[in-house]
Amino acid sequence: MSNATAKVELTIDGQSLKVDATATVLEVALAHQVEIPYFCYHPYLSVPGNCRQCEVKVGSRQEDGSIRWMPKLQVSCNMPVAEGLVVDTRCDEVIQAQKNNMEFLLINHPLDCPICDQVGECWLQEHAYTAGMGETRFREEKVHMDKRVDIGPHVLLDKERCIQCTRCIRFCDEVTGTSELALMARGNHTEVDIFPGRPLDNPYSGNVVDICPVGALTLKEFRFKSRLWFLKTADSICPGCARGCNIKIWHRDHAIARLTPRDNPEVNKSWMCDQGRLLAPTLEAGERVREPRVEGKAVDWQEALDEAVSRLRRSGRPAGVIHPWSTLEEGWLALKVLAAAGEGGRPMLMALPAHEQGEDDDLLLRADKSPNRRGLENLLTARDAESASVADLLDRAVAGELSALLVVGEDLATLVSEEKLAAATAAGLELIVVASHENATTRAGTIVLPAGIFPEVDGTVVNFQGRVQVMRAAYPPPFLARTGAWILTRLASRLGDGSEDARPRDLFDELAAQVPAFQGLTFARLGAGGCVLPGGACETPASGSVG
Amino acid sequence: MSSDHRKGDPCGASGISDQALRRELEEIVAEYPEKRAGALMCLHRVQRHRGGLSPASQVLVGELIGISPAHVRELVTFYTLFLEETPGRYHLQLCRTLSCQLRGAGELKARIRQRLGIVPGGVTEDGLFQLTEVECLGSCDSAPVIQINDDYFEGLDGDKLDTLLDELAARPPVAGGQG
Repeated sequence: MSNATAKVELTIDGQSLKVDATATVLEVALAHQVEIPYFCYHPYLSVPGNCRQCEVKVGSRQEDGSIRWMPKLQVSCNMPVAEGLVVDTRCDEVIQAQKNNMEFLLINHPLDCPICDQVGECWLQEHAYTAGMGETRFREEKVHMDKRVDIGPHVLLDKERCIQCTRCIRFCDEVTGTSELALMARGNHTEVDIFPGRPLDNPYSGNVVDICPVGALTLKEFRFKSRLWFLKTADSICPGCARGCNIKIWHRDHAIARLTPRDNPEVNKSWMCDQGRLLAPTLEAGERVREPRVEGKAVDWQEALDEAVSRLRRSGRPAGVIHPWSTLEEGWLALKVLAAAGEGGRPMLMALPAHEQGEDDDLLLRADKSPNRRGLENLLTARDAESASVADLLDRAVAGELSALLVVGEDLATLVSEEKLAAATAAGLELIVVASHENATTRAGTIVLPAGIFPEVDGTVVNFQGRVQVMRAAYPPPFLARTGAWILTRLASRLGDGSEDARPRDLFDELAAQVPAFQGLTFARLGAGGCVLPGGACETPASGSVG
Repeated sequence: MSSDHRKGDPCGASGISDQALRRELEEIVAEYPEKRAGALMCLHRVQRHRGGLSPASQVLVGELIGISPAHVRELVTFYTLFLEETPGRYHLQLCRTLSCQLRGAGELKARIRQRLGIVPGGVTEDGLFQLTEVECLGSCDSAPVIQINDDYFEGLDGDKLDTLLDELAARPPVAGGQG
């Protein structure tokens, strides 16, 4: 809110507030912890005022100090604030209206909560506890509708559970502009549906499941997978592209159960793309590197790390390849390792391969499929690293100019041919590989150090807008694997640069102090919404839940 | 309706080509400053020519007025007078509201069932007649009433209905058929 915005003073439940004149009563209430129940309102969608659950009593203060109440309750989501407005959200009239409304909403609701996926995050259930009748007065037969309608590749519709709030329809109209959904028929027969043969198949279709306040829209990939209360959550950043959508990782038994967006008005609002939402199978596919190896032989960490350090040092001038999925801390440490292992005098050699696919769209998706390219580029520039392509580095190895390569997260065989990789190793190139999954590079690696991958990694990343955001681990890496930062701090420390105990946050503070682009930032300042480079303007997203 | 319209003419029998229909719709849309405002008129026109609103025609209307097919279907399903399927050539819409009930709508329904073998919602095997029960047609003074396609047939009884059905069945199909 800028200072230029006009303010008005109003009273909500006796609390006097000075607020933005363009706000609505519901927005003000939510921002000030005044609880008003609602279903159809959503902060990023238009306001239809159709569910009627947010009705409140409003009046205006008269000159003699008395209050002139409006004859009927008003929906707070569509009620603009005004000077002298008085709002009562707790009087008997309002409570009774909420109860009446809930009774209507529940008349045709199947009450199949025991088998419904929404339980635990169902607003109908939530409000039924506070404003429900407990027992129905409805003696007639409920309206029955289709309960398993396949409306798209990822979304299933239960028409009976729907309360016709139209959030999903407005999402498709206003956010994606694809308009696949509409309200068909009328009265008791009203139902959300698609046009026959035109499924809900856009890159953001999963969001309608998040914003559905009831169990009408469910995600096929999560359906019947778990009750929510068995899941733990971690607030993190989607690694799927350079957008860096703020997400919540829902996990159980060291596996991702689902990914959902977290509100960040500056980055992804409360949306995420289906590609990101369904990233888990890609991450969980393939075989994990289980233990540290030296020349194919499993060894303990101590030996692997010592051996890695001696090879790096022996090479004189090791080079590096770093995957742009790596965090700032991993990048910073990799540079420290190269600097400490090299003989000095010459700049570090580092490849930061591009991972692009598709095109940027005008909502969230970015062609750059890496969450931290911009951050790592800043680090390379700050440390005066000489950038090289992987092909270039392997050519140097064949020419006898390079004898050790630190590979963090990349599978070189996806960037160059396996023959080229084989030629380089045959010429004596030793690969010190930090990797989560077995691949051609780990098979060719002299030393293989098993590492964690999202969502096992703590650290910071910089999105394409230059926003530094915090990625949080959901659970530790499996088997003997350790996070990239754990491995690289130990290599750096053995090479004489820094302590083994440095935590990611310490490393961030260290690099922020040394890299001009990050100046003024500290880990503690990043907060929930991240900070923008350079200068580091930090914004915290609006509080309050966005469902 | 053309001037030579006969009472109870078959619906959807104009035989107009897709191209000519499209031109008519474009003319309708051009009359409105806001394209979407022409939605209902377009749907009426299609239904008059084709008898009902097929998925393809809903897509066409959506294209012309700039809204998604789902939102066209939203309109079509909201109004009970729009039909998603092409009905039988003669769409018998039998009023079942109070005045007609009191004046013998039930007997008409029984007679139709006996003669044509269809109940409300059904179509005869030859596709000639379709029966739908509807709410008040606003013609209580002449109850009981059946609306056939666009026309009212009032003050009916069993015998009058028989004569009417015989007459309709004997009419030759209009050139161009149902389209």
